[in-house]
Amino acid sequence: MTESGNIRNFCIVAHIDHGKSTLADRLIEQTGVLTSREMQAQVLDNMDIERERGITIKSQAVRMIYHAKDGQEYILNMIDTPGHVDFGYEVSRSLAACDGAILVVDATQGVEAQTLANVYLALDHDLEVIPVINKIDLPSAEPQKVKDEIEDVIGIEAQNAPLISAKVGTGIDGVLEAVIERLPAPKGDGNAPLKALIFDSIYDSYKGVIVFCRLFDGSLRRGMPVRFMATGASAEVVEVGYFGPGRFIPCEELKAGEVGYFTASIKNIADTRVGDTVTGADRPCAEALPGYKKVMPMVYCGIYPADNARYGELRDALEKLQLNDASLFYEPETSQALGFGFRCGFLGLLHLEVIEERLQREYDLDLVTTAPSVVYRVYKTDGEMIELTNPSNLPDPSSIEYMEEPIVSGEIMVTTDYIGAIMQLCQERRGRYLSTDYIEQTRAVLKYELPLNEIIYDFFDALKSRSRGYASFDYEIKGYERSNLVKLDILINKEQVDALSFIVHADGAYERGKKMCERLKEEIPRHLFEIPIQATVGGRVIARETVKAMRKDVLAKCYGGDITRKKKLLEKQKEGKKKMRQIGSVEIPQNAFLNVLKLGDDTN
Amino acid sequence: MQPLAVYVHIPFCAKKCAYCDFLSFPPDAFAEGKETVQRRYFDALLREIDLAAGEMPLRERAVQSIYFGGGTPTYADSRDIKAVLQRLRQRFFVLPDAEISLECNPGATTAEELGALRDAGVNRLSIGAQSFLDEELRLLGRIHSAEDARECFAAARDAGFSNISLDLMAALPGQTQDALLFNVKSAMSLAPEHLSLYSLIIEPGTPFFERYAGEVQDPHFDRPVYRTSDNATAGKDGLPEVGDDDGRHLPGEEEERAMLHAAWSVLEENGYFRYEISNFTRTAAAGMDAGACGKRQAQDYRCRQNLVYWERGEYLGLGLGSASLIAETRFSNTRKLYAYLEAFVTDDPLRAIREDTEHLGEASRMEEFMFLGLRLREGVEESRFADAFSVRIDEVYGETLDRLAASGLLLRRDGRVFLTNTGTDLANTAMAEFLLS
Repeated sequence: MTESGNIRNFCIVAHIDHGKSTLADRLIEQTGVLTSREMQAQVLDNMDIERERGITIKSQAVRMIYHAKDGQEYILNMIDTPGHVDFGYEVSRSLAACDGAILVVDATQGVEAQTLANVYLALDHDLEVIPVINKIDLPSAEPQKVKDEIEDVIGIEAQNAPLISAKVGTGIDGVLEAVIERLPAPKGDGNAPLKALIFDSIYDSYKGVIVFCRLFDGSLRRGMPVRFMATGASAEVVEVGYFGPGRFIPCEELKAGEVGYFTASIKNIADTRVGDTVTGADRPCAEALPGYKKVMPMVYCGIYPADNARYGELRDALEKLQLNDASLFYEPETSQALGFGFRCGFLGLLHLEVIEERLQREYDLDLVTTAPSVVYRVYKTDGEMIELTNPSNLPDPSSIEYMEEPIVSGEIMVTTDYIGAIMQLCQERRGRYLSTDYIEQTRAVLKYELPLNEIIYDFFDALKSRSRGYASFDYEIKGYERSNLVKLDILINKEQVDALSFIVHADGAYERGKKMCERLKEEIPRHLFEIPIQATVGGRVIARETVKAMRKDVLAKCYGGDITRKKKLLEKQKEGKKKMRQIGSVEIPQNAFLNVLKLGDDTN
Repeated sequence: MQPLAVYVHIPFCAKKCAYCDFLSFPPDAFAEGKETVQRRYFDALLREIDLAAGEMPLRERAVQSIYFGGGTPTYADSRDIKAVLQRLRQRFFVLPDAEISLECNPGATTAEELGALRDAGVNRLSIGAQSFLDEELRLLGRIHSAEDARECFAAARDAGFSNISLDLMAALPGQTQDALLFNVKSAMSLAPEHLSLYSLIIEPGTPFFERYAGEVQDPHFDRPVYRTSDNATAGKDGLPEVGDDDGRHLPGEEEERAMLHAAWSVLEENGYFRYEISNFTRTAAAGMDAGACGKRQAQDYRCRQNLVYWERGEYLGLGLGSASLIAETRFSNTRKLYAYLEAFVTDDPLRAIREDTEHLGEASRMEEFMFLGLRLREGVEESRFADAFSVRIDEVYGETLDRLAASGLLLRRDGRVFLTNTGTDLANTAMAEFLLS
């Protein structure tokens, strides 16, 4: 077996579109899958190809074999990291399984906001970082300028950075050599008790949970009894292996410093928490790895099945998603308007959208989602403090002393042309201006403090549209601040619709209430009676619209004796009615909830 | 056995109107010239009559009404209409007092032709006047003036037609209530026996759709769907240019209902009884200067052909795109002109032209009974429902009737169920409630 000195565990970090995936593909292309020893012996005969074929490995990690210029054979484990700031947590759990990182920087774009965010995360994890300059084949490439920028802005040595074009395939060897030479081999004691970090897992219906882990000490073999230190669950290892490109390759043993997977007939996905430490049941290690910082969800919303009969399916789907996304939080919730569903917590709005998308696409569920809300702190007159995740649970205003809302420190990188527009946007969103730093002549970083609830709706879209796509935004939670917040309720035909309530700054209540009413007026079809739509704050009506009673719904013409055509029309009408939610005596189309909540900045 | 109604479709017209989505072709739609196509069409029609009359459920059947619709049936040669009627008389038992209607457009006929049609046995004429304001007629893309319509009406009377219907359209772009009432009064001054008043419907695939689709308030209106015509021949060239509309807009729902209600009142005050959602018949009260026609006070001028549709009587559709209900089976003829024409060289032409055949189960028949019957002002007779289905109406629709009655859309009185005026305005809402699945 390869010694741990010939192993490199690394990840690639980059700003979106700087070429991370292309480089990853090239690295896989230029390396092999099996070591020469493995080629000769074991794997092929004990690989149950039929069974393997059913599963496609999520491109979380891949093992590559590289024959270096020094004549030796190296095992390279490349672990994928999500690029977006919402997934800082996911990035950090991937980073914890690595010893080094390749930083890809676009030779035409230079250092971008997310480049910085990810590099700092990598440095926080004590990873060695090798910069790589990509896209040197482009005419506008300025590698020297970018090298200087990396040194100036990030403060890491970059003059020796490999110059590559992942697209064309030039310079890839240089990257591989740099990985061997400059990234450290994993440390760890192969004879010590097993100590492995779970960095991901997936569920397979044949094998149960497949745990992705990085071994820090000891070894992991088939038949070995293991224990999960945080959950206390134990199991016996059925299969161990590593990640081939696109598939799992079983092997006899994983050793300290290696990255791979194991299965142990684990059916209960809650037993294998990402970030937990796996150790030997017979010979446990003294203490668990620090794991990951527990990340608190920052954005909450209610998720309901459009068809209430599918509540159970939604619950199962959320449970499965939580398995490899520990940052997803959910608990059952009931809404008068929407029936049974879940209050779900997310790292950010993108995370919310990703989960929503996965529920719809992978689990074929039709969903109704309520307004996203941040976590407010409600200080009551009796001294109690409540963390409010659902606006409906806001206590009676008379019992509230004051409320606090989360504030983020935001950095917006923008070309100088759009500074004015972006500053205006931040102003509208109750932003507090801190500073402007010029990175170079045409680009600056604006620093603002912004209330989180102002950026969870449509801030990214507004940012992109006002900067023609040239601004990028990064934020981190700064803390809580006292704020003048009120709960805005929506009444449809005098009935309060719990799913539409939300917390808003008192100054913005009227604008939001008015917009909500206007949008609802468009979404609610005319009924036989007039329907008032009201926005109220503390029982006081601040905005009102009316859906006028339907006056006409008749087809005068009868097209000779073509009754079929007439009947189809009536059927369509009846079908449409079935897709409505009943609120009191008013029927509201399901997508009205979504459309109202996606209250965009229409004026732009 | 109940006598049959027969519908004959004539898919030709001088020019497509800007709002029209009926199955009809202007002469420039054909490469080979309209005479050739019309010749082939009427030959096919005669063959269809021969073959249909030989079918089991139709053999030796009595016919109580025949209706020539279009297109513009008067755009065809009266000799062709006459030939069709003759063939129908040969193959079926056309009752001596059968209602024989024909749609006619001013500007597409002559006094001689009207006389010939009367002689051929046509005894009811439905004249598509649509409006008595020339600017509205231009906007609609009609080929005639208001004066043409009056002349056509007079010529029809001269030719001996004592049962004439006038078609009017309401809710035209930019139309005011006064304009509509002017049209209604102009129509009444001619003292027709029957009157149809339809609100304009914006149909996909028409020039009006291109222009006004965005203004339609109907929530069930299919905005994005443009129906591409099945007929390669009905290309863009077949469509007339829409005249300048001077910034006219469709009336809103409230306006539309207000002008229609006003028109209804004027009509009823003058002895025109609304017996169906959009159809009126002259009653005894319509005296005025109706002159000679006043003598036939007791006569029922309701359109018998249409009553068959609404009361679920049997009818046979002949020609392109026509619909039939025979032995509780609905089917339609193909809407593709050349498919229709070429079917008659095959072994089984009827099978080749008929599509969308649907045998109606009991639930469908009940649904139809209700939503068709409710189009009539007098509604449906509860005892007729019980006779037809051997079950009391309450057992099937009790809850629906209560609900609709509670919302003020419907009334039950003297053994009948019928729509209120509000219910008539919201007829689709009410009718959809009678669907059972």
